[in-house]
Amino acid sequence: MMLEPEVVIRMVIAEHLRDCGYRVIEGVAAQDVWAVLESGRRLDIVLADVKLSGDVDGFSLARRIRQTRSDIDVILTSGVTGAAQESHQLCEEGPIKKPYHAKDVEARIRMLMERRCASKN
Amino acid sequence: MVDPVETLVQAAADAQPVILVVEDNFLLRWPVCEFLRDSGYRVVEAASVQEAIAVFSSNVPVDMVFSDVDLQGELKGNALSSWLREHHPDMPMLMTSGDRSACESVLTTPTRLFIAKPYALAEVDQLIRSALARND
Repeated sequence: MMLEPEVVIRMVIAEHLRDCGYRVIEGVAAQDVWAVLESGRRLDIVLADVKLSGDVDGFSLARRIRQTRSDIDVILTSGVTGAAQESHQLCEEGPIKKPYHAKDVEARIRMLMERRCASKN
Repeated sequence: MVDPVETLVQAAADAQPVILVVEDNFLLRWPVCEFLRDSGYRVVEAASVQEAIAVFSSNVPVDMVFSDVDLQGELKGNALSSWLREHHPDMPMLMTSGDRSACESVLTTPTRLFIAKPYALAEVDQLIRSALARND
């Protein structure tokens, strides 16, 4: 499961991970993780930005998951660079290996976000 | 070099439709997005009208929008419908709400479809398929 409040980062990284063979659930807030777990769905990895929507940040979420669900790996990221690097690492270990480079994923996200800012002006 | 957004561009070129789902309620967005992916679509998820516009501003190819009408915040599904009419006039949009009258005023063209909440997932798939077939 990937938690990221910024839509462009979430879209690119989630699509990247799906291409590497993962099933990815996208969320924006800590409570989304609990909703998935309460539904009985299994989660193997939670990849969360330290900044989340809602009252609970990534650090608190990670602490709570580690305390209550030691079967789930938690990876905290910070910003575009962190998300790109961690997803690259996951793809290296993932079901399907793809020739991604974290720097290219990062550059792509930055370009999309800049394009969005430009279109706002 | 493989690029995640190129994958979406390629999906569109390969006739794997890209659907933008706009729904603020995670417990509704998650199952419908998962269902649509399992049905063969590429799905981009947005939790608000602002996020949906951000996706379009990023030039990600989108074939159809499936949007809730009663979104939290200032901008509702009807505002997204108006924005699309201006910027992507041919974009088909399936709108959903518990109350059809909430968007009756924008359901005036063949590109605007409606499904009442609670909806059956299979029916969403069917409406999207027929809208995309009409658009071809």
